[in-house]
Amino acid sequence: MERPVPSHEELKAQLALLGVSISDDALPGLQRRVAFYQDAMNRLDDMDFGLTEPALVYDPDAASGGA
Amino acid sequence: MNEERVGLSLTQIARRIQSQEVSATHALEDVLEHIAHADDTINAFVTVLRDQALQEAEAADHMLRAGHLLGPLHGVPVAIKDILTTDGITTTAGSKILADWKPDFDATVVRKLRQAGAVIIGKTNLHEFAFGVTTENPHHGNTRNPWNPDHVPGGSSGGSGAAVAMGMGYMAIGSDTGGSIRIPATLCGVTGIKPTYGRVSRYGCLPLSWSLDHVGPLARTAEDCAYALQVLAGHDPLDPTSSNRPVPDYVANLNDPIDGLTIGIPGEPFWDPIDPEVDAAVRAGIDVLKSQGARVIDVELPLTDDLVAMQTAILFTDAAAYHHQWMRERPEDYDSRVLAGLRQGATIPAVDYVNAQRLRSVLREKMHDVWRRVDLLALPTSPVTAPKIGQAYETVAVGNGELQLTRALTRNMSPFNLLGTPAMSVPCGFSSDELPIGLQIAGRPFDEATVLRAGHAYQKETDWHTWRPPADTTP
Repeated sequence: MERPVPSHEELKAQLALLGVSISDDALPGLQRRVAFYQDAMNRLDDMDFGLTEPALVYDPDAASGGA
Repeated sequence: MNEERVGLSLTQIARRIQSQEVSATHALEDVLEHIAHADDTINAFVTVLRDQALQEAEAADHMLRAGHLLGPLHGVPVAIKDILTTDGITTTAGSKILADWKPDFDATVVRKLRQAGAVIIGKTNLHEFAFGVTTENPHHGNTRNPWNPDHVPGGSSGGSGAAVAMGMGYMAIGSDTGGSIRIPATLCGVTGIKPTYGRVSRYGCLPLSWSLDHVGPLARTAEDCAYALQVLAGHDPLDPTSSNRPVPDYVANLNDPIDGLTIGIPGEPFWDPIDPEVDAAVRAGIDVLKSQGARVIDVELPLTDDLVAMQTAILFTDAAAYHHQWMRERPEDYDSRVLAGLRQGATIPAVDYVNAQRLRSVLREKMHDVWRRVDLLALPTSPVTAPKIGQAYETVAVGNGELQLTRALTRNMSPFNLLGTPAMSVPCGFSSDELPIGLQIAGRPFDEATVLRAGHAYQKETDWHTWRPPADTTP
């Protein structure tokens, strides 16, 4: 299923969950940004990571591929 | 003002100061005069530490006369991006929110520069909180490109790039999350290297994205960057992401030949769309490396279609997390365009963030195959030259196509932030409207030495890095 573009109200509600406010005139710009993002993320939704993928690690040497 | 001295590289001025051919005070006075002459227009600096720097330079001269050399940068004037903390000196991060913040500690790179003898001349302007690529800044003024002040210097380390290009410092520190050292390097015609993730401490650098941020130098030449990186690199117990790996001698093998190296030229999407003049200059630059004996082969990088999604999900979410409290309490104090990006980050689901990081691990794993075949990658730093001021969030023409400006300026650089691998931009030509073009050389993890060696080999055969902007900076 393709990702939808959230409505103005949905975006406002999503930000409100984090205590972040937004004026009505800023909503169209945010919606355009989110639409672009959703389109880019459609590809990731179809990604097959495999069932035994190693855990994500977060240290400098691993961050560079451990090479 | 001594124009000849201001035109020297960091390496050259450091040698002259150490041999007491030039005093640190005179070197600093040249730079300060350049700032007085040009910075009303260029606006590279948020803060100029004139009196403090003069005291430091005089002390450096006194020590040298007494036979005491502090380190390889003794008496050399350098600038610091205003996102790195400086003890007792305002650190604004290019923002209104931190306009009056005076930290009580030096960032590790600042401390290391001081220990190496450098004289800190000031704090350079940036895109607000480093979240942008043009250094158009409503709080501290736009920084202008020294080659044409109607154009941007790039960002987010735009003040650092402009300062070095204009002779307002022999080296400047930048930070790079999606290209922010290399963008101003290429657009201002200077050399800049983003080292491997973990190679240079980020302690005291305000974060934009914890797993993508890097700190590194911008200077005139690859040799300068090698000298600077030698000072900056190394483990820092204050930075949990700092690597324990020993730091090699970046300078010792700088003059080794590059014959025998294999350089990969990545294909799509790094060359399309692209300004034809940039395409020609970068390909000519690669030919210079080839003429020195490097073997050049075509390679395909993995997951190129997914890079934007990965970069956006990670960077914007990290930025929104860091700025969450200020977004709630002081939204009116942000540039509205920066705030829009932060709000976007706040809408990104946690599932996306984690999956982007997972895919990033896959990307790094797949890159091992590429690094087994090549020693280096060479590609355009940016597909376009410096855009005009005012286009920051617009779609711009790029050759036969068009790209949103941020995408245009980060497309070829941000993959190396996701990979955490070293990448450098060296000047490789000029467009017909006299704006600089950069060649990007990227290397294996922790192999800055080979990247620097290739950059130095290129600069021994070319003179683009010696070109200086016009002295008249009137827009």
